[in-house]
Order: sequence, then C-alpha cells, then structure tokens
Amino acid sequence: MLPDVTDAVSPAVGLTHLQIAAAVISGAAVTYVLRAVPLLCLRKRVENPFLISLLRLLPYGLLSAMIFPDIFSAADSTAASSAGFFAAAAAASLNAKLTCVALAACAAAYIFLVLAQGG
Amino acid sequence: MKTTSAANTYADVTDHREFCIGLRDALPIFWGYLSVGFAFGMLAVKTGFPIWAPILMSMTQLSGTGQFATVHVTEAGGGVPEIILAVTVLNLRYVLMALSISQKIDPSMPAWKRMIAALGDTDEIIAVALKRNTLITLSYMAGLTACSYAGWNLGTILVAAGASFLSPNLIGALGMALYAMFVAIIIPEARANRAVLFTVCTAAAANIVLRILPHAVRPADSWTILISGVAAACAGAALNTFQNRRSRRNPTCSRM
Repeated sequence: MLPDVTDAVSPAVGLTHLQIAAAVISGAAVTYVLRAVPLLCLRKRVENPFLISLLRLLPYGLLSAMIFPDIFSAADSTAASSAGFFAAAAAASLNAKLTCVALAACAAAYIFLVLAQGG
Repeated sequence: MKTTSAANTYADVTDHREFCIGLRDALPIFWGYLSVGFAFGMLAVKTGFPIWAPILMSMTQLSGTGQFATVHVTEAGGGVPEIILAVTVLNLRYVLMALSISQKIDPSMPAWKRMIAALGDTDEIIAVALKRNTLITLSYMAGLTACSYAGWNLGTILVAAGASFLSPNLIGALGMALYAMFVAIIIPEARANRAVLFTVCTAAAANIVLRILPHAVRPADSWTILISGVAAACAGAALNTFQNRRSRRNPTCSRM
C-alpha cells in the first residue's frame, strides 16, 4: 500500500512541488522563530516576584488547558480515553516515572478499545 | 513557593551523561510522538500531499499544531502568508513556554547554543525539562530533542512504509501517551505546591467552560488554551505574590 508518488500533484491539493515546498518551509521557519526568539531575548534572570511566579506557573496553566477536556477524546472512544486518564492519574499519584504513567494509560485505553470491539 | 532560580546549579555529570539522561527522559515522548507523527502522515497523504511533504514537514518543524495547520491551510488554498499567520497564532504558546524555560538556562549560555536548544522547544520537551531541578544544559536538551525527533519522524515515515502492522487500536491507545505524560508532570507539582494546584484547576475549568460555549461565540481551540492557560497563571501568580507579601509582614501566616 505504498502511496503512489507519481500522482504527487493531486487534484485535492492542486499545487506544484515548489508551492508545497514553500508551504513546508514557511511553516517550519515561523515555528522556529517562535521558539528561538524568547530564548535569545530573555537572557537575564527575572527579578520581579510576580513575573517569577508567572513564568513558573505558565507551563502548568497551558498544559492543564491542553489536557482538559481533550484527554477524554485522546484514544478514539470516550470510554477508552477516560480509562486512560484514570490510569494516568492513579499512576502519577503513586509518583510513577513518566514512562510508566504513559504506558499505564496506553495499556488501559488499549484494553478498553479491544473490549469495545467484543474481544 | 520555590522559585525557578532556586535551581541554579548544574547536575554534576559529564555532557555525555547529560545527553543520555535526556534520551532516557524523552522515552514517553518518543512513544507519544510515534503515534502523533503517524496520524499526521496519514492525514497529509489522505489530503492529497505527496509522501515527501509530511516527511519533510516532520523533519523541519517538529510541531503537531504547526504541521496540521500547514496541511489544512494549504488544502484550503492558502499560500505562504496564510500559513505564516495560522502557524503563528497556533504556536504562540511556544513563546510563553520558551520564556518559562529561559529561566532554567544558565544566563551565560551563548546565543549559538540557545539557537540549537530552541530547535526542540515543543510543549512536551519543555514539560519534561521543567521536571529537572537543576539548570538545563544544551547536552540535556539535545538528548531530549534527539529522542523525540526520532519518534516523530519514525511515525511519519511509517506511513510511507505502509505500516500495516500497527493496528488502529494500538494507534488509538498510543494517542494517550502525551496526555498521560502531561498528567504525570502536573500531578506531583500540584500536590506539592498550592499555587500550581490553583493554576491547574483554574485553567482546566476555564478551558472546559470555553469549550462548551455555543459555536457562534466560541473562540478557536488554540485560543481557548491560550486564554485559559495565561489567565490561570496570572491569577495564580497574583495570589502567590499577594500571599507572600502578607506573610512577610506577618511571619506566622503560612506561605503558599
């Protein structure tokens, strides 16, 4: 089932290889600039207590918003995703390592997905 | 509350060891990225892109939201300006994540090293790096990035290879990996620190509320994440600063 490279310029996209390459490169360039500029510009330690707190809390706020509610649809079905979430929360509460937590969540979701198909 | 500047010493190991610790710490990212990279490749090929396009995107971008946006905008007939706009908006949170991690980097790290470290500033890599209680070295970042990059690109390349040995159930289950990893990063910190707990709960509640708004007034998902995440962190930081100031005036008050 190798994709056929000969019909590369398909009607669905309707672009030449050059146009696609331009799209790919502009996306990569923008993403890199967003990542590099803060590291290059903010080279000092922040001293203001509010800003210290804010910079420390920001990733937790953003990560939490990325988790909820999307985690409940992460593994195709809501039941399997919820099983994965509770497995992750339980493993994380026991201070398991990141890899173990990820494995526990994937295993729980996998079992639910297989069971839902009637075994 | 601990400040980021509390961790102002390097881990006492060689660069080679740091790189290996990075590789090992990124293993859960590897598995998660394998699944996302695969899903991305499938979508791009289904959309009608030649197989080299998603592979080149994964090799040059290493950003889920950015790459999916590039595919969707191009499919909708958008050109380079539209792609730049969409990717900027969707990936604005990288600026905030990178600002946060900048405080865990030695201020004397030269610009060229910072430019290399920035290659791997994804949500997942920064989240894992946050768990380290020492300064982040370039070697550690390189290890994290190399392992994650391998998973991401392997996933995309598997699409080209056919990948019939991966069952849909397995792909679906692997979709949990990154979220589970986020949960594992947040929970211990939220239990140890009330400001983090407050921020996490507020952000989750705010994002869920924004998502159930009627379609007509609801901002795009990337905006609801930015709005709820930033608002929650601001509220947490304000509360934290206020409490610390009060407890300095009255030392018997418990610190947050």
